[in-house]
Amino acid sequence: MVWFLPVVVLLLAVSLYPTVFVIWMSFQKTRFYDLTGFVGLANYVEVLSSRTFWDTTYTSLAYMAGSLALSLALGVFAALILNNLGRTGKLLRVLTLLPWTLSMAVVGTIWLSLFNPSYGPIGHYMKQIGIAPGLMLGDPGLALWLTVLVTSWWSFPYVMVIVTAAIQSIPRELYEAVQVDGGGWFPKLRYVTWPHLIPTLGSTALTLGILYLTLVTLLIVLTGGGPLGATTTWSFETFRGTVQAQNIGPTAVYSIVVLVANIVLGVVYIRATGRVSA
Amino acid sequence: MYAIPPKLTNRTIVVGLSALVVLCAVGPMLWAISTSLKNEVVRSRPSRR
Repeated sequence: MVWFLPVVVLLLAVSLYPTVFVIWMSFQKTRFYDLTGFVGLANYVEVLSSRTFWDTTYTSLAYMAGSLALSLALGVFAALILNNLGRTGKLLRVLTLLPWTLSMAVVGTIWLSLFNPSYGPIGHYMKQIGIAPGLMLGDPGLALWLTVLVTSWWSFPYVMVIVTAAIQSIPRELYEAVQVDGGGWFPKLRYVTWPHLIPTLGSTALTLGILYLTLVTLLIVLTGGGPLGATTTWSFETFRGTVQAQNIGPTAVYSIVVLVANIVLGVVYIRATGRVSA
Repeated sequence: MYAIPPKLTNRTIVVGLSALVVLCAVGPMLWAISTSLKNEVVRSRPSRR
């Protein structure tokens, strides 16, 4: 019974203690980094009744859903295509994996240059074909979707690798059975590949969903939460509140919202698939 | 049986789409590397002062 105590102590120290501390902090009044007294639910009322919170809620969910949809679609597409190429496919898969190996700060810097309306190549080519590039990442209506695009570019290789592993674990006999029945490429995808991919895609979507909800670095480099708060997510607001505004009480509420959202994602996944891990 | 041999057509599509996937993934990085090299050349020029 005692042999697992060190692990329990370690888990309590590095995981449970910070979480409980943030929950406790969300009930406190703060003056910069000092906690000055208990205020009950005042921080919750302040945050949940503010327009900023609902704006960041929309941004967080749109950012997560958009990035998930695009990275899953691109990842599955890349895995299916490169799986047809044998040995060359392996090499191309390594090349395609490179964006995932880059630091988020580097990814942000690359795309910041690419999207620069003055000297970036995307704006340059848009001008050449007669389209005004506009402000790109400086455009409040466009910034979120360009951020989604960059996030998907960075993370679709991860989906590709996971999906490739899932595809390669499908027994060959199932494809042969479809072939015997006269089925071609699409029936094989529809009746063999796709049902085998669903659980893998579910767990990958959960992992990436949690990652997108807690991601801050890319947003700091690309837009800094702007323009006009268009890319300020819950996590970015947590960062801004802690580091820039030093208003810890309400910021703790944002942290708890992210925590609850992640728990909800996990519960939905377990309910939907009836499994704890894929 | 087929007007065009299916394997050849599939192969062409697969190679084309693979090239597109790899280009989309690696293209921005290649652009960043080439730009950084250009900047390096400019920076290594002797100053006029």
